[in-house]
Amino acid sequence: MAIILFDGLIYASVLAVLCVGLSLTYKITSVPNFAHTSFAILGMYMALIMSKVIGLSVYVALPVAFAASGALALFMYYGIIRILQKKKSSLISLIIATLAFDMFMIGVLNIIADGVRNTYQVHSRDFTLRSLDTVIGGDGGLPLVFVVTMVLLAGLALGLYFLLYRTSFGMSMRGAIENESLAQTLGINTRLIFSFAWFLSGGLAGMAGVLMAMWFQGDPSLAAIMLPSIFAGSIVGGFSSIYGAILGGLLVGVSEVVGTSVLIDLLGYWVIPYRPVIPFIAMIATLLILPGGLIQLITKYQKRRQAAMRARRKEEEEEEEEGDSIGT
Amino acid sequence: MASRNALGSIGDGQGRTDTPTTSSAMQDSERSSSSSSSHAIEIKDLVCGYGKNQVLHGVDFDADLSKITAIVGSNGSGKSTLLKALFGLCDVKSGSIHALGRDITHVPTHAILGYGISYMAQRKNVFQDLTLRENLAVVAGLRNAEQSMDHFPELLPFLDRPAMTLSGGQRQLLAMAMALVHKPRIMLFDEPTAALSPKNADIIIGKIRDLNAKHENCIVLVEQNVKHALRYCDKVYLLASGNVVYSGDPTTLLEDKDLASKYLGMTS
Repeated sequence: MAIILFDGLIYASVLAVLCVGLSLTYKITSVPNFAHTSFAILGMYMALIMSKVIGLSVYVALPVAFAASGALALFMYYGIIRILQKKKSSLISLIIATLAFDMFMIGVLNIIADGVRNTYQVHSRDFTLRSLDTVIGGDGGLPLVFVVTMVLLAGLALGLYFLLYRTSFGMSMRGAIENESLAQTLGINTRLIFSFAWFLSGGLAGMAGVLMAMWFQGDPSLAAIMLPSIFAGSIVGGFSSIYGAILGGLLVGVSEVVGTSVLIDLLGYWVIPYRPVIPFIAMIATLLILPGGLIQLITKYQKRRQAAMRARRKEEEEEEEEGDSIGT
Repeated sequence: MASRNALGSIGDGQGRTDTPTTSSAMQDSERSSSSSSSHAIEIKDLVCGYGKNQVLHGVDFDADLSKITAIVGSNGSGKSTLLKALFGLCDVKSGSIHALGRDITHVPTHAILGYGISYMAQRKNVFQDLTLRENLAVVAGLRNAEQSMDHFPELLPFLDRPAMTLSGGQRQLLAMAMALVHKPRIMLFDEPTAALSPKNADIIIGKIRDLNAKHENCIVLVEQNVKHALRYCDKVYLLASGNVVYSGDPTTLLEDKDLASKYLGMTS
């Protein structure tokens, strides 16, 4: 039971971190990035190389993976997305370009995996670094990766709130996402903002990949296997909402792990390969019932409130028609 | 002061003449007279547009500090494009733009801002999802957000409201506050009173005139409401099909029945 709990919470938290990155780049470029999981798998191999090849603590790989995957995301943004957007390519072309980049990265990751195995005789497929982790409180205690994953997710949620709502850079970021041309006329460096967002998105995925390697099995094929779950998490939460992505990622992650466990108890182990059906069902159900995701419920309430405020202002203005000043 | 000559064209009393059909002659004479002048803005023979679509076809324009210059004309005449060209927002094919003594013809927008020029767009000129305070913080920084409201005390009660909940007039005032944060020497307004009630339009124009009187900056504005604009501006440019057909004193333009009826739709 404890294993399922750890499995569920670690997987869900990692998924939530990945969903945040996917939603962030979607908000900025309006392109769903199908290569997002390849940033995570690069982080996974960074963890393998840092721990098994170089011999450092696997946690040292966290900042290294952040930088490497962040740089890869930046390369993708400037090398592909921006060029196509400047050429006014259609959304379909952009989506296909992200798929092509994903395929290219799967090839690169396979080369890395084979290179590590052939050069250093390190097991580099279906590997796990769980045995390298520290268990707090001895056998049966709390795995450090669990604590780190929870801290990362909580830190991400609080950090993003602080960044977006408490700093002028974050406010500029929200402004640039809403209206890029206005941001430019006000002197906001939108290129810096978008670069930062892509780097952060890739970097977070890289860190999520390191944590994945600490608990689950790592392999280049995981990029394709995890993709439906990440998209499902983002869609369930609300594709263009950062906090919706956290909520959706947690829900889909827990549903996948707990749901599969329940189905195994009921039907047997043969259901395991059908695990990806769970995020697909969640995704389809959301698109049919609540297309804007769970966050739609909150935004509906906010919009209703704002409409009421606008109506009140209009009434006040009409009453003031005889007065001298606006809105007082 | 503009005047009408024997051929029915408009002159400004300084040897410059203009008719709707001979705008290039006017531009030539203006070019010769402005070479030694020191206008805050000086545009010569400007050809510009968007991609392959050419909107302005050789426009000459100037504006001075402490003055309000209005650009009027019918829809599609190139008024907003002229303003955008000044702010680096459209593609300049040929000609030159000088502002405050610098050549800004091909200078990008963010650098133009640094030269003391700001621009207020006609629509979507505030971030709707952000509060007033956040909108100002984007431009002024968090610490200075409240201070930048000095000229707009009427907005202070709404500082923490999302901009989308404001009335049209309040949104225009907020956009003005944002454009004024860096204390520009040149302010460009693209239809600041569009879609406002007459009362709110008067308030916005009052603010613009106050700012002009207090800071002696150069104000250039595009206006649809011609009668309104000509009441308070010091100089007016009338554009038609991407050409200047009149420049000079606003009163003379109003008195010219031919121009007023042909280009401004005024029947009396």
